[in-house]
Amino acid sequence: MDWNGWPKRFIRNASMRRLGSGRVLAAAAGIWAAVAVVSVMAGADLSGVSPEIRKEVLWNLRLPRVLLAALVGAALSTAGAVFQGLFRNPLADPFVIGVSGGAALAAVLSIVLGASATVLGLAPVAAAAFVGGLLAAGVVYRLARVRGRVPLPTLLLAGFAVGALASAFLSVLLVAASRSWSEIVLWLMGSLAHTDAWSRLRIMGPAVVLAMGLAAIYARDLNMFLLGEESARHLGVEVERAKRMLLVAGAVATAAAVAVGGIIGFVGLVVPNLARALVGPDHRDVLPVSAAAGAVLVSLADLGARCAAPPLELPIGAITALAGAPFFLWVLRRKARS
Amino acid sequence: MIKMWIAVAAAAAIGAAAFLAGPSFRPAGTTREIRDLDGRSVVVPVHPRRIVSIVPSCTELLFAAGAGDQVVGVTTFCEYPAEAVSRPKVGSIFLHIEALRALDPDLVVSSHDLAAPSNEKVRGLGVPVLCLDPKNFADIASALRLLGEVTGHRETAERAAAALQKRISKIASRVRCPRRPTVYMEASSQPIIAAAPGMTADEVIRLAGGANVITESHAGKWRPISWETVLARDPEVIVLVHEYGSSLEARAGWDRLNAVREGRVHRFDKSHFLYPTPRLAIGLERLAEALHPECFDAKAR
Amino acid sequence: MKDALLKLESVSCAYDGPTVVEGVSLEVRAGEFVAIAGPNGSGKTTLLRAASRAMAPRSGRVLLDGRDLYEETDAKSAARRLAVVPQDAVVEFDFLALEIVLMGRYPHLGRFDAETERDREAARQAMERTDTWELRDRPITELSGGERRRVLMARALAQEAQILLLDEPTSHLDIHFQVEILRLLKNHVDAGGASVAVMHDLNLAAAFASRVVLLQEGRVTGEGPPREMLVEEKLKSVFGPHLEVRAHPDGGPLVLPRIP
Repeated sequence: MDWNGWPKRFIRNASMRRLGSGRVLAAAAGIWAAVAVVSVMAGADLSGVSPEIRKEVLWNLRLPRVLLAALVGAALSTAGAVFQGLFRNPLADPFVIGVSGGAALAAVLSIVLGASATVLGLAPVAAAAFVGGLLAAGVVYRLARVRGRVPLPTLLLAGFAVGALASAFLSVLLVAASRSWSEIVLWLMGSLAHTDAWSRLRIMGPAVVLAMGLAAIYARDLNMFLLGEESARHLGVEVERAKRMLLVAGAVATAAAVAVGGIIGFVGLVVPNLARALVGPDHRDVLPVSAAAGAVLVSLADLGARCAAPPLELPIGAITALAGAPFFLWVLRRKARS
Repeated sequence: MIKMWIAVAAAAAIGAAAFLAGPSFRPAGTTREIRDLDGRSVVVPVHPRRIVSIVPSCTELLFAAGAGDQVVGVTTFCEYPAEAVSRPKVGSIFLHIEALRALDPDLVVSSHDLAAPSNEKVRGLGVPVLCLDPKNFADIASALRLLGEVTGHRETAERAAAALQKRISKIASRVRCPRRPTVYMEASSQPIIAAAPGMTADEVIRLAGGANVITESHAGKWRPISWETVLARDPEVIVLVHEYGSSLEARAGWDRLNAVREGRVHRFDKSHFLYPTPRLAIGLERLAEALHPECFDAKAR
Repeated sequence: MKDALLKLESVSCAYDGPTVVEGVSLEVRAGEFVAIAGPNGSGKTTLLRAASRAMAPRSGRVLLDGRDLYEETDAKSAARRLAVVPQDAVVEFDFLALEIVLMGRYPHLGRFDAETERDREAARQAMERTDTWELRDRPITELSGGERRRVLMARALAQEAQILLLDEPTSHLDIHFQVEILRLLKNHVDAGGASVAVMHDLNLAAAFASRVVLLQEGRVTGEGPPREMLVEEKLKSVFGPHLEVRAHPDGGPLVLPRIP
C-alpha cells in the first residue's frame, strides 16, 4: 500500500513540514562532538605547563565539565518536555512542581550551616540540593493528592505554592546569613565551574539516565495526556500510575540537574518547544530530540560562559537565554510563516 | 470622645516636634568640610558624638583610632574589637534604617565599595556619610589619621598609624631574601576568588616576600578565576583564607600541584587578611614567616 | 436473551456534594443502541463517566462482561472492549488528525511496540468510515469543531471496541454528518456491537435508538423503545411543558418545541 511506513514518510510531504528525529539526533550528536572538542581545547593558557598538569586540566576539568553540561542540558530538557506534556502547557518548565525551590532552599541551608561532609563522594551542597528537590516534589505530590487521585491543575498550583514558600524561606536565609552571599548568589544563578566534576557525573549521570529511560517508557502515555486526562483514561492509560512515573522521571532529572549545575533557567522551557517545532508533538520523538538539543545548548552555553570574558565566568543561565532566545524566536517565526 | 481628640492632637504635636527636631534642623556653624581618602568632600560635625559604623572594617578602624566611645551603633557583622559587639545594631549588610534613625547619629562611617546603596539611604536622612576604602597599608594609616582628626583623637590615631607603619617596616627589614616564591591566595572556594593586584591582600603578598600568581586586577577587588588557571600557573605556595566548604582533595589535580607536593599549603584566619584594618599586619607577619621561614629562623638564632 | 455486555447495578455517583446519579441500573446487550435523554443537569454525562471507567461510583457496581469494571478490569483491557467519544477535546499540541486516530490503537499495543501495518489499516478504515481520511495530514488544532468531532469518532472506531459510549455525538455537526454518524453507530450495532449515547435531539434518538432511557435528577424515570418513551405526557414530566409530540410521516414520534 502506498502509505506504508507512515507517519514519518507521509509527514515529509505534508504541509506541516517535520524533520525525521533520526536526522535531528545525528545532527545534534555531530554538533555536540564539535562543541566538546572545542571545550576541551579552549581555556587558560597551558603553554609551559608540566604535561602532568596539562593532562589534569584536560581530562579532569574540561572533559568532565562538558559532559556535565550535556547531562544537565539533557536532564532539564527532558524534564521540561515531560512537564509540558503532562500539564498540556507549552509554558511549563522543569521547575513548576517546586523542585528548584526545594533544591535551592536545601542547598542554601547547607551553605549557611557550613556542611562539609561529602555524601557518596558528592559535595554537600550538591547532595543537599538533590535531596531537597526530590523532597519538595514529594511534598507537592502529597499535597495535591485527593482521594487517590492527583488532579493536574491542583498539582500545578501546589507546585507554585511550595515553590513560593521555599523562595520565601530562601530570602529570609539570604538576609539572615548574608555572610555566604556570593556563594549563594552564584549557586542560584547556576554554574558548572566545579573542581570535582567526575564525582558529580558518577552520581548524577546514572540518575539522569534512569529518569530519561523512565520518561521514554511512558512517552506514548504522555501523548495520550495531550488529549486530556479523561481521554487518556478512556484509551486505556493507567492515568494515576503514568502520572506518578512521569512526575518521578521529571523530578529526578530536574533535581539531578539542579544539584550539579544550580538553577539554569530557559533551557527546560525552550528546548522542548524547539524540538516540537522540528519533529512534531509525538513524545517518542520529542523526548530524545529535546535531550540531545538540550545537551548541545547547555554545552555551547557553558563554553561561552567559560571563554567569553576570561578569566571571568559569566552566569550560564544568562548565556543560555542569550544564545537560545533569538534562535527560538527565529524557529517560531519560520514555523509561523510556513 | 473629647479625650480621644486630645490624644490625637497630642500625638500630632509630638510628631511635628519630632519632625522639626530631626537631623536636618541642626544649627549651622557646628559643621566643617573635610576631604576623604579619595578626595571627595564631606561635611561633618565639628564634634561628632554619636557615630554609627555600617561596615565591620570601619568599626575596627574607629576603635583603633580611639573613637570607640563615640560609636553608638554597629552591624551584626562587627565582631572586632570585643567592645564593639555589645553596641546597638543597625542591621547586617541590609541596613535597618529605623534602628539607625532611632540612634540619632551625627556621623555614619561606611565604605563606598561595599555599601553604596545603604549610604544613599543614610544621606537621605540628612546624616553625613564618611567613606573609607583603604587599598593598601598606607591607606589604612591615612584612614586612621583622618578618623582621629574627624573624631578629635588626633594623638591616639597618630600613635596607632605609626605603630602600624613600624610593624610593616620591621617585616620588610626581615624579609630580605632574594627569591620570591609564587603565591596563590584564595578567599572563597565557591566561587573561587583570589587576591589580585590593586588590593590589600596583593600588597600583603608582596611585602611578605612573595609574588602573586594572579597578575590581572579586578578593580581592586578579589578576582573570580577558574581552577584551571590555578593549575596552569602552578603556584609554589597556596594560602587559604576561608573556611573552605568542599574538601580540597576533591579538586581535580590537587595532588599534582607543586605547592601540595612540597607541603606548602597554608591556612590562615581570614580576619587577618580580608579587612583593610591594622589587623592586616598580623596577616602580613604570619604570611612572611610562612613564605620565608629561613629569614625568621636566622633572626631568632 | 444475550448476556449483558455492560451492566450498571444501582449505581450512585457524586462529586464533592450531593449525588448526581442515584440508583441507576441499566443493561446493554450486543445489537442495542441505547439513547440516554434528559434535561440539562440530569446526570447523563456523569452516568457515562461511571460506565466508562472514568469515575468510580459511590455505591453500586458497573460490570463489563460480568466483571467489575473498576476492581477487576485493567485500563487497557477495558479500552479494548469499550471506546468513548467525548463531547470535545482541547488539544494544545499540533498532532495531525491521523496521529490522533492512531492513538486509538494504544490499548492494542504493548509498552514497547511500534504501530504495525495492522494498526495503520485500522486507523485508515476508521477515518474512511467517518469521512475524515482527507483530513489526515491536517493538525488537529486547525480543524473545525465538527471535523474534530469526526476525528474523535474515528479514534473510537480505531479502538475496535464492541461497546461505544458517546456524549452527544451529533453536537457541532451539520445535519448531514448527524445522520452519517448515527448511521455509522447503527451499522456498528447491527454488526454485533453496542452503543450508548447521550442524546439531546430526541427525534434522532427516535429514528436510530433501539431503546431510550429517560433520566431526571439522576434517576431513571422511564426506559423502553422510543415509541413508548417519547410520548407527550412522559416527556412533559421530564422536560417541562414547552413541547408537543406529533406523528412523524415515517410513523415514529416527532417531538417539536411548543412556543407559548
